[in-house]
Amino acid sequence: MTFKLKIENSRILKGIVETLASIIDETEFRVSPKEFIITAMDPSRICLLKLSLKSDDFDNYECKQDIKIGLNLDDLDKILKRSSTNDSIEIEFKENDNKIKIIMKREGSSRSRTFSLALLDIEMEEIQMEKLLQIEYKSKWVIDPNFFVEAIKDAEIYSEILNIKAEEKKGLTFSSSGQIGEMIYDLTEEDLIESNIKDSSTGAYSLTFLKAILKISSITEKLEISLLTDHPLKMIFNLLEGGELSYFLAPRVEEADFNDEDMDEF
Amino acid sequence: MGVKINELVNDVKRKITFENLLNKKVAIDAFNTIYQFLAIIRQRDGTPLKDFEGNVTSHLSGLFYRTINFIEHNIKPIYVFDGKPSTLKMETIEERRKVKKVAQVKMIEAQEKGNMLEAKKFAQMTSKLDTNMIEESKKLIEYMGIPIVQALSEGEAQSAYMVQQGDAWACASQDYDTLLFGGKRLIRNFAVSRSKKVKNTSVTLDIEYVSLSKVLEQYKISKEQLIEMSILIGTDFYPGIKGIGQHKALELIKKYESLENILKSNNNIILKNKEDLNFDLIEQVKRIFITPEINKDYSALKWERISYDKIEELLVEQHNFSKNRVENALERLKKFDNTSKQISLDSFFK
Repeated sequence: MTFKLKIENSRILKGIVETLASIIDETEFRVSPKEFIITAMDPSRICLLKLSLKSDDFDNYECKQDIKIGLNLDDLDKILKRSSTNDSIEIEFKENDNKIKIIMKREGSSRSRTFSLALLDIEMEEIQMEKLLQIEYKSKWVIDPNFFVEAIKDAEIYSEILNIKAEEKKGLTFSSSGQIGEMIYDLTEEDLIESNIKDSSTGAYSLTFLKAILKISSITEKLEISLLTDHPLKMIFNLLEGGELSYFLAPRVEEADFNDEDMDEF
Repeated sequence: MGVKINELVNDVKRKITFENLLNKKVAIDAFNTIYQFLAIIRQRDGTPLKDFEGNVTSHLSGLFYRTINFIEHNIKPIYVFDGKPSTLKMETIEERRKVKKVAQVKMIEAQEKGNMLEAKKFAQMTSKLDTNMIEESKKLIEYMGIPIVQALSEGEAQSAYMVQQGDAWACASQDYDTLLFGGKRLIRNFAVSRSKKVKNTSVTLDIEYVSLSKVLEQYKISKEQLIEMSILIGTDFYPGIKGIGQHKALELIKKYESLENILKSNNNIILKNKEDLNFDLIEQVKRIFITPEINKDYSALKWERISYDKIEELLVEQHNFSKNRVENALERLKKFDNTSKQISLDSFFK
């Protein structure tokens, strides 16, 4: 039970871990011979993130069995932030070791920095993602991640909520309103890289959670967004050097339309 | 004060955060919370916050900022106010009054000597809540759009009932009495984790969650047995039996099964206190917990829109709060003031 992963450019890993750390304190990393997966849901269960990197997305990937390890993301984030963009990063785990090692090296230098990070014993619930994946979205488009970042930052001036509307033949509108006024961000289908918008869908989503993905956009090559009225917003980030991050964000709905009295114990 | 079963609860309680309480309705023991504000929100020498006319405003400050925090986290508070205290509680109330008087004298002594730390310590014990303060608190809560429920007697009994009815998810109070009243879920330290100075070292206060059924399960006792244990330990309604603490009470109830059997037994402690035992009173106290007076007529709980102008008028114009600080806080609130409600992904997993 060991694994050893190497990625030449620390930027991607840094961006991912920073995003994850802004949503959840600790989570499980699953390493298998084929892929590297991190799934995380925030404690209020509003958003769900799944990162999957294929073995090919790494510059070196050695893993023979399925391994699960729990890590504190804040601590991992702090360690990764110590790397420079051109540093390579190696993550190593040895059987029966209660920690992972993170080794940073720079091209053309023999200097190496090794950080170890203790593993956590965490009980993760199995998240039933299938149901989310089965949702039939009416609208789907591929957008320049910078447009989306711009809309999020514009909206923040007015409220905590970003409204999204997709209309067949018309395009997309991001909007937000508050006591001081409102902002409207219009995009026609021509402004989108790809678009498949049917009928009309609208949704309202928390900016607090959308802001968490701003970091990811800088390492994203392609961003695909799906929308269906009063359903989770689905975003798929195709990362610059391979790999995919899926992000589901639960909507805000009209108070009267929804009653989710959950009287369960934790 | 409430019953002292903190050590027994220790093994069962869970640490939670505001995030775990998304969209949950929480019935807050208003008096308990307001007293806390009066004790904590003070200047360095122990003087509470006051407006220009000398009215205490610590409670308004606490309620205002705390409630904003709840709203920002999509939590739905309900403030439950105590009604008329039970006559059995009079002795406790009288006792507290005496303690306050003594503390008042000691506070003034300390202030005169310039010993601020001492002064603050005693000042915290002098907190008084008058009708005017209660009315102002209710006004502020109402302006913030938060529902208020008036209990007939004990607020904790009322909250417990509301949880049983499914009108609230949990009760929030520092006292464990809620559990005795049948409150299924109790939240303690219901504020954002913050540092609290305990004996001059800073510690973080976590929000604690206690499930009544887990307490009962852990010790394999019934709710009635827990009530009977509490009578032995002492509650606000009965001083308890000298020499019996939480662990002893558990031991006795496990051994003899009921309070009746314990009181009839030849146990040393019982024999020693035999003369002081008032069986009638014990029976009355038990009834308070089992069949408390409840206001079953509270109307449907509604979270209304926030009245920004009225809040500003109350806090800034009437009580000399800093206009700037209140406006900034209201600005924060405005961002969350929306008729839509954040739901979790759970409904899409089903």
